[in-house]
Amino acid sequence: MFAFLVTIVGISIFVGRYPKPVFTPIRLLWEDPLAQSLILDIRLPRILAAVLLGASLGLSGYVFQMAFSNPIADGGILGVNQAAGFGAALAIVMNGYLSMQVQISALFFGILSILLVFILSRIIKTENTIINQILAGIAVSAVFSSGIGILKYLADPLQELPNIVFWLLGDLSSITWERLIPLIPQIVIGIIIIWAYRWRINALSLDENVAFSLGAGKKFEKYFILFVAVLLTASVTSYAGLVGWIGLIIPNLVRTIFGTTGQKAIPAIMMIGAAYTVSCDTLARTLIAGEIPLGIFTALIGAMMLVILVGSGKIKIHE
Amino acid sequence: MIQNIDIKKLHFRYRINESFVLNDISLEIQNDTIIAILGNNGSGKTTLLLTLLKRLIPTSGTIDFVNIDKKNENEIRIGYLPQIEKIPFGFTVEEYVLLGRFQQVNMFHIPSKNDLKITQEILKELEIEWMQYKKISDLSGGELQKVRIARIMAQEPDIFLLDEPANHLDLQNRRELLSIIQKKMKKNKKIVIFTTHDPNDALAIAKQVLLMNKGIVIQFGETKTIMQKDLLQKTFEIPIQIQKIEGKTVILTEN
Repeated sequence: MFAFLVTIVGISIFVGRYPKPVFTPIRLLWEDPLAQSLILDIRLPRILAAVLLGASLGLSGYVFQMAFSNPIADGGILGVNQAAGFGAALAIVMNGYLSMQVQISALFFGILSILLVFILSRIIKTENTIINQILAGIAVSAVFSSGIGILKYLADPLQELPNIVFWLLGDLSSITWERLIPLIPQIVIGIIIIWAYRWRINALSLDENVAFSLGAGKKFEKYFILFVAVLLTASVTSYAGLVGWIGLIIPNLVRTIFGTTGQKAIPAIMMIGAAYTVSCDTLARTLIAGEIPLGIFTALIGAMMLVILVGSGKIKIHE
Repeated sequence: MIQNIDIKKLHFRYRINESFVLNDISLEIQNDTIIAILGNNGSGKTTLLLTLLKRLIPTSGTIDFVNIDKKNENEIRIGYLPQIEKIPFGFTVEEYVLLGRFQQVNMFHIPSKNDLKITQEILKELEIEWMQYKKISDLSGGELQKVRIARIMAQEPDIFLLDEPANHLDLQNRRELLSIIQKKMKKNKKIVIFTTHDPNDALAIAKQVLLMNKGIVIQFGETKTIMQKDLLQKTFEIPIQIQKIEGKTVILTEN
């Protein structure tokens, strides 16, 4: 699986529209300093950003699904993506593109949204806890989407607005080493924590009273791992914008192929999530002369895969 | 090892102004026993189990676990089998039973070889090792119940709390499950407490019986002395007959 990811990354480095359309011959790289700097300063950070984006969204989707014992929970459905997006957009409108502030604001609203989902899903009392969570998520994401709408209305139409709009569609075209590097430590630490948690996370999905009797009902543990998932979502959202569907589709796809337990699923989600996102982003930057926002690709492919997975009975929503 | 459980003047209600679900319960439970809690639906059986689990905090009164090894109360392991359990995602039997070892696995760790060995031994003991790679969602009702029993046994608890373990099982599976509880679960002076609304389950395996009606204890004691017509009628609020058929006591309802 790791080899698969390396292959995809390897191919992506040489695919692009400069210096020659589609594929960069290696010979040209030695002769053309512009091509060298293109690969090192533009393509490489962008590919690394896509790798981290895919792994982070996939893992946080898996954590949400386990912690809520709900196979269709993910940052998009629970409203965490929209909230982190709102936080980031707010910081952009108020202060411009300062990485630290965008970051903290995205994390703050991400945590706020998950707390709101917790509270709302207790207030909404249908028989089905999954429905309660989804309804709470719809409400939370609607609130933050309309918040984003207000920010767009308030934004400076010449400078900020185009930035926000493109960024909301999910896009990695403006990635530079300067923007990516400060985020790498927290993303890597978050991924390592979830990986270390790969067995114990299973118990969070069990019946509440059973989890309690096993000592897994401690609120602290659940909140801690959810915090790490929100941190990952907020970190990548603050540089990539709203890239949806990865957290929903990749964990479900991996579950049907490799099994449910975190020991098997978590490494697979990291690799496949990363490979999937790099592939989508490579298409996004090469398919036409301009740039297609990444979020459009992941949403199109994601929606199709969701229909296939649910239709073939691979995603089962028990209650 | 648990020496005994002391329950003193236990009261519980879910909300203020509601009537008590558990009303003034005082019991002393010695170890090395199987206790059947008998009562109608809504008599407080499940609520009593959940207060013993410390999942519900008593409105008043106390529950004390007296133990020989002077273990901290938090170290006492209590296994709980809910009546209905939602097991999400496609866990396999082995993966699910292994989760019973949660308390024995340290934070940020994965199960050790020993945890795997214990899981395997329990699957063998219950004769379900052939289904270890099957998905939980593909099991029949009887198979699922045995797998859930295996999970609680993998936990190696001091106290087993089983909520209606034999409910919804066919006659053969019911007999088999009761014999598993009697022969395989109650080892090393453990305490097994299970709820049921069938007095014949209690007759089959329980050493002691606790009769409950509307949150009040009707009687608690040795099974033979408790299984009397008047006490059972008070518990179930219907006419009851106790008959001997070929030397076996059978409890029937009158039509």
